[in-house]
Amino acid sequence: MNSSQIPKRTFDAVIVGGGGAGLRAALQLSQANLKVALISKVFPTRSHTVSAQGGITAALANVSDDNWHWHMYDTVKGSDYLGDQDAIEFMCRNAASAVYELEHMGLPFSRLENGKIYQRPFGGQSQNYGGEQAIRTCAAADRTGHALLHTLYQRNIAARTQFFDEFFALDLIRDDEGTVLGVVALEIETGEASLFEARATLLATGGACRIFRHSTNAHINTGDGLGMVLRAGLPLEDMEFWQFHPTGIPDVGSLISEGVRGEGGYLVNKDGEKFMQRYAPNALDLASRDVVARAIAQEIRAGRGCGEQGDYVHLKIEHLGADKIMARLPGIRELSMQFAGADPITDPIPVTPTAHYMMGGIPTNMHGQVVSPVRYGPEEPTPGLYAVGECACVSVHGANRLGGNSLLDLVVFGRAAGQHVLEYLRDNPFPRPLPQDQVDKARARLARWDKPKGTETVAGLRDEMQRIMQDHCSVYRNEALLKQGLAMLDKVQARLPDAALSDHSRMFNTARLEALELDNLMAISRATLVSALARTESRGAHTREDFPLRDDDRWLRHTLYFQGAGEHLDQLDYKPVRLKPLTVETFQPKERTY
Amino acid sequence: MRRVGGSHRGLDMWLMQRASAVYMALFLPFFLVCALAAGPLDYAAWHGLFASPAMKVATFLFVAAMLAHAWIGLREIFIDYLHCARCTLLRLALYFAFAVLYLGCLVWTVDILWNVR
Amino acid sequence: MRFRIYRYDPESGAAPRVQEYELDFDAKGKKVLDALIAIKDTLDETLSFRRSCREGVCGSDGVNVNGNNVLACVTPLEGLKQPIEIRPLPRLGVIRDLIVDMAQFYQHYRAVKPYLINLDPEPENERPQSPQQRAELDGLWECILCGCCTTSCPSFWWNPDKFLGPAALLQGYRFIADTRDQATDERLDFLEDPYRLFRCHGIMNCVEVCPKGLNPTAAIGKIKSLLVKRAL
Repeated sequence: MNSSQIPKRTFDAVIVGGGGAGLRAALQLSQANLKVALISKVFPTRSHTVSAQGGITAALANVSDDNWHWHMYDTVKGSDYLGDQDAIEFMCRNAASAVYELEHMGLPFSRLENGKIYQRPFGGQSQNYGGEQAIRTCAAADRTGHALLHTLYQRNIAARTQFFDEFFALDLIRDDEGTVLGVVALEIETGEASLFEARATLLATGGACRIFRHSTNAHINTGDGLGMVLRAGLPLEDMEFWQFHPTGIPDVGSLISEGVRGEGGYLVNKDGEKFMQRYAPNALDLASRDVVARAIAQEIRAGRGCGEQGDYVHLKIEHLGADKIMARLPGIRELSMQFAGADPITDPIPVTPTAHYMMGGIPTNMHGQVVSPVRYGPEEPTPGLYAVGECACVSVHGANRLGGNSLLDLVVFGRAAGQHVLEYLRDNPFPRPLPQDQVDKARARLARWDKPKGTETVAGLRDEMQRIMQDHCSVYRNEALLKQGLAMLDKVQARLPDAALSDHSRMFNTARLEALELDNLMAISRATLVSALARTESRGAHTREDFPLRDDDRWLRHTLYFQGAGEHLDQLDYKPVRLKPLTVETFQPKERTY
Repeated sequence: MRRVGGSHRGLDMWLMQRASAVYMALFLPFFLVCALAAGPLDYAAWHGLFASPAMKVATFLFVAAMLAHAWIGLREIFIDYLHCARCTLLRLALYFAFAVLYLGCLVWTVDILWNVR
Repeated sequence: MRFRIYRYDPESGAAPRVQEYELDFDAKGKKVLDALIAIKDTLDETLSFRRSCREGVCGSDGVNVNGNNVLACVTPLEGLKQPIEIRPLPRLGVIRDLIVDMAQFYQHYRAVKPYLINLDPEPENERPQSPQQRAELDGLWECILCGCCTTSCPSFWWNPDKFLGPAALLQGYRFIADTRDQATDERLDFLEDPYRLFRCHGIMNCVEVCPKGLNPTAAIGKIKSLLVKRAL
């Protein structure tokens, strides 16, 4: 295979991923008149940001007394003290300006009587460092993600960003010195690979909850950026931390926003008991997500679940009345009627904890630069490589993300990374020679699926992997369960080389795409199991039955997982949590109750 | 792809279509009432109906509105269905042909109406 | 369950055809997309279609099922007449199987300048908007660009290159209706043309098929009345 055959396109910067983070970063660069390519495997408004419902958190103080210090405290506490406090301060400080900026761009926020942006209470929000419930999440009805994604896409149309829709990124091009020089991507419609050469590459490929059998995530959330990073020899951070959203529709997985409880909804078990008062006497249904998810799981385990199987609980909002439900939660009502067969105006919505968000990801600093331990310290930037959004681990969410902080993460760090790319490009004006072998390697990944015959199917292996992750790495974990899961995954992974496709066409071959995605999902599943097995404590969303307590002496640190080869397939390393904020005092770890 | 457009002819035609429809809708019941009031409709009564200049003008306007309405309606149909590469010329020819035909009808209407004495 | 699905393989050079599938599947509570995925996973890997959110918010999987444009992911299988006939959205070019070329649709969307235009200096905080003013946008901003409406519109079938279609016009009105937007005149100028807007004859197929329950015909009517108001 001759790599000179593959067409090359050259840009100042290439962004992989057309969700909120990718679009926000692209906007920053396009508005600076840079030549920027945005590669997305789906048309940008099909990205998973569109499914975000409840809102974006910023201490605007439009409804309750508020300021960013309190938001910062809540986020640090919510992260179970694993979040890096410098990045958290950066995000919370910039939250208000980021939200006003979105409003100026045209985002159709719901409004208060005085004309200001509507805000609703969300879980884990407090005034005065743990006091009264704060009302901090800015919303456009219950379709805030849709509004945000479309607004950002529209601004990019105005800025004339160059879009490469339905291009699938295969691998990073990284030279011997570690500098990233672009990506090889597959044009889905033609099936042709091409090289996107750029002095800066930004990954915004989103989450990967499709490793689980039941998840709130779109089919496209297969963690492609994470797979690329692992194959490029870079680590993933904190992969044991996956958020299980307390309220997903059973089996289907569709998300029922935390905004439902923010607007006054509450959970009940089969006896009609408002059980959250036993688990979080102060915050009740608006405790942090990990707390509520565990509470529901406990109720179900104790046989107090609803339905024939007793495998879900009820979320009730009838008391809000039809008018409020139609005005504030129209999308939820639609989802509930379509997927749970329940109209929340008259019936309770069945809900169960469902995999929702990846707190871990590609390690970055608060400028979006991908960092890893190389020679001099644990956080050396990788030249030319950036990551933002759910695929990145800044880490502002630590061990548990607060609702409303993910949309904020996208726009704050999307903008910051875009800004930093501008500086980086100014300081690095010249392209570097491309290592041909890297290009060939990426193409080999593609060619591997031309294999005519095999004994395994992609769908079959993916299904097995998802069952393993669901059964062995869900809300509650223990050593035996994880070990067994890892052994089972070993076997499934060993069968991956025997898989083959029956479709070898080139044009819009979605079977081949799913196969390429499976490579990424498998690697992420493995990183998750290995990281989870090693962390012998319970923190945030990572709950070990055999180690029920948080252990700050040993585990107040971030996991780094590297993908090796052969005997040393899994390599773990650790780095300290950045406890020192930028300008304020450290929030010292203390017991976390709601 | 470059495309020309924005001829600002969309609204005029649409408005004319509506306005002519409204006039026809008002005129027809009015005419019916007049005709009924004129008693048994023999030649003399029918003839007398168009004797007043006001009725002549009103009827003329009705026919003009009807022809304009019909012409715009045909134009809509041509625009909807005729769009092959060479259809622009055909369309223009059809517009012109029907415009001439309808103008002829209008002149004829004037001739008929104002010959009623 | 029995299905008849439109197939087109651009590489074979063969004409499009309809393929029948017999799927052993418990349809209870399941949607058309679940069946398509099951067919792809168990019967025929080559069957191609777009999908993403699988809950009716991303707009990827607009298809024509038994003659109606729908989102596969929110259309229940129960109650559909068998064999269930699934075709790509009408009038757009077919790339492969159920995947259509949306380029024309997106071009029309871009043509209405779907972004807020406001040349005032940016205020420190939000631009105020009363709940009543904001309510004007309801039923407009929720469009997911699935294309079900535009491809069900006969006026679009007749003039797909010149008539903007219900989806783009709905978005055009979304910005006209926004009290924060200052480009109403330019927007109206652009639409005052025999084709872009005025090909709409109020057939209302768009209203019937919209999976989000939106009403593009009403929005088009509002644009027309603004044009009239401006002219008189």
